[in-house]
Amino acid sequence: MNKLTNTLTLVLVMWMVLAPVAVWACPLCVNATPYKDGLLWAVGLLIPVPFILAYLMYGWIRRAA
Amino acid sequence: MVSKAAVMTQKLKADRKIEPAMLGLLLFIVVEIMFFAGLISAFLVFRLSPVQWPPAGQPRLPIEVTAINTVVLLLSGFTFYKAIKVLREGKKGLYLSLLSFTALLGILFLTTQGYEWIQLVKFGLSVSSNVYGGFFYALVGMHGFHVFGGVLALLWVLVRSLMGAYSPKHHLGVDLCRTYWFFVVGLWPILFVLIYF
Repeated sequence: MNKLTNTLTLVLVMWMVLAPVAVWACPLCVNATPYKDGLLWAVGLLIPVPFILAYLMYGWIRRAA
Repeated sequence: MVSKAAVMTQKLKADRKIEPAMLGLLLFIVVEIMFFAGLISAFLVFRLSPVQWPPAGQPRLPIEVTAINTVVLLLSGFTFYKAIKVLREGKKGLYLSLLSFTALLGILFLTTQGYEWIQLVKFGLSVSSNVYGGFFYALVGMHGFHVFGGVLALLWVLVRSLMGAYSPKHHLGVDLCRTYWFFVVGLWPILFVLIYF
């Protein structure tokens, strides 16, 4: 089992060294799309929404009770 | 003879600070806000990118008519606010007039939106024409659907009010309807600015 793990790790490392484009696929995708600014703003909008809502609900319940 | 459990229940109800129905409605509105936030963020992916928006050859959205329609919806929020205020003061006649006027403004908003949609479809903007059309009908359509639900609730509250179901001290149904109506009214200016400009 240890030998198999070591072999797989070696193959993966060699693959990353010999074909780095495959490893950098995600950053390349983000930079390649014309929608990267929109994606940034969309994620930026969505992340705080649940926290704001949870805080507002907490504030409302505390004020009402 | 009233049982001890019934007395306890009555006492608990009297001491209650938060109505379960109101809490449930607020949780529902939180879910709705998340739903619209998801739709808006998907829209922003296209809107804030340096691609041509709206796409070439698409009909121009009627900003002026929709701006007037926005004022109509905001006015309905104000009349509902005043309606609750006069109900608490015991002026039932004025309350009924304001509530009816609110419902009429809601129906006017929906009718104008419907007319606008018919015109846009005639000019070639449909759900399946492109992403622009898809987003327009999804966002504006979902809001319109919520306004429709709000108008139905308003008419239901109006009928119950005519039957004398609400008093200056007991008007939970009106409060629930108002909270929901304020949500749909408050959401529309955000959608209007995002989609039409």
